[in-house]
Amino acid sequence: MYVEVIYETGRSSVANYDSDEEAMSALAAHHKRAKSGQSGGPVGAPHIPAERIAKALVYSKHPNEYNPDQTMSAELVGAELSELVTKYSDDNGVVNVSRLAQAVQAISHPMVDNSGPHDSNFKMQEARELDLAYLEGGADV
Amino acid sequence: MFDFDDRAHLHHCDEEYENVRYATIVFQRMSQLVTDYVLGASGSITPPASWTMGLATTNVGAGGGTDYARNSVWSASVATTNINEIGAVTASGYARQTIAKSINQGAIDWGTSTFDNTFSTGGQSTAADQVTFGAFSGAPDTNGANSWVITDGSTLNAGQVYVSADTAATRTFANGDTEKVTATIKAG
Repeated sequence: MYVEVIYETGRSSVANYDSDEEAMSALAAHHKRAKSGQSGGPVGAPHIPAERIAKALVYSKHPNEYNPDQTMSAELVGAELSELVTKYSDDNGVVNVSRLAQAVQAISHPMVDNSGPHDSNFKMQEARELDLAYLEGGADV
Repeated sequence: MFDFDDRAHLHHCDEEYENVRYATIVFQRMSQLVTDYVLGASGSITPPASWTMGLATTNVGAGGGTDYARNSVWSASVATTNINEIGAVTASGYARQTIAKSINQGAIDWGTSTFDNTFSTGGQSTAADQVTFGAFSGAPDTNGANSWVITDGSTLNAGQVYVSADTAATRTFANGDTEKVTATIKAG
C-alpha cells in the first residue's frame, strides 16, 4: 500500500509499506524524533530536523498513477475543453492556443494545484486515512 | 544543450546549501525531448504527465564502464551502465516522489527560472520544490543511495530516465529516516 505522509510543515512524501503496522512503526519513529528535536536522518547526512506528522492518507496504488496513459473519453475531453476555452478567452473572445494546450494537458496531471498545507497533493482519491492518535501517546509501534 | 546543476542536491533544507557540484548527467531521452518535442512538436516523443524522482544505488561517475552513460536505463540487474533503484526488492517505505509539471502552482513543482549570462557556463536554471523520501520503516533492499534520478512513473526500475546527479555520500536508510532532495536543472 502507498501512504501520502503529510508533515506538520506542509511538506509531504509518498511511502510504500506492506501493512498498516509497518507504516505506523515508521511514522512513529520519525514523529518521535521530531518531538525530541532529532535529525530526520539518515545517519551521516547533514542535520535536518525531523518533522511531526499531521496526516497519513492510504492509497492502493501510487497516487502518481492517476492517468499514466494520459487518455480520457472524448465526451469528457469535449466538456473540459469547452470550459477551458471559456476560461482562457479574453474580453475580445480571443484564446492563446499554446496556453489552452497546456491547460488541456493539465487535465490528466496527477497533482492538484495549490493544495492546502495539510491537504493531499494528488487528484487520486485516497482509500482511507490512518488514525494517528497513537502518535501523541509517545508509544513505539 | 542541457547542463545539469545539482547544487541543491542533497539532504538539507533550502537554507543549508552546500553549494557543491557533483557528477551529473543528462540522459538521451531529455535530449530527444528537446530535438523532437520542443523543436519538432513530435506526437510520439512527449513528456510524461508528471516527473518523478527516484534514488539509485549506482553512481553517475565519469563515463567509466560501470558509470552512467547517456543511454543508461533502469534495470534490476546491476551491470555495466544500468541504473539500479533502491528498495526494488523490499521497499521499507521507499517510493518515488512526484514533481508536478508546472511552475509555482503545486505544492511540489518547479520554480521560476533564472538566467545566467556567463558565456561558458551560463544558461537558464530552475529549482524544483524539495521532495521527501520516507519515512523508511527499516533498511530497504537494496539499500544505499548514491544518486538521484529524474524519471517518470512509479514502477521501480522502470520508466524513462532524464537527468541524474550523484549524492554527496552514500545514504543508507534505517527505521524512521527521511531523505530530502532539491533538484536544480540548468539548460545551457
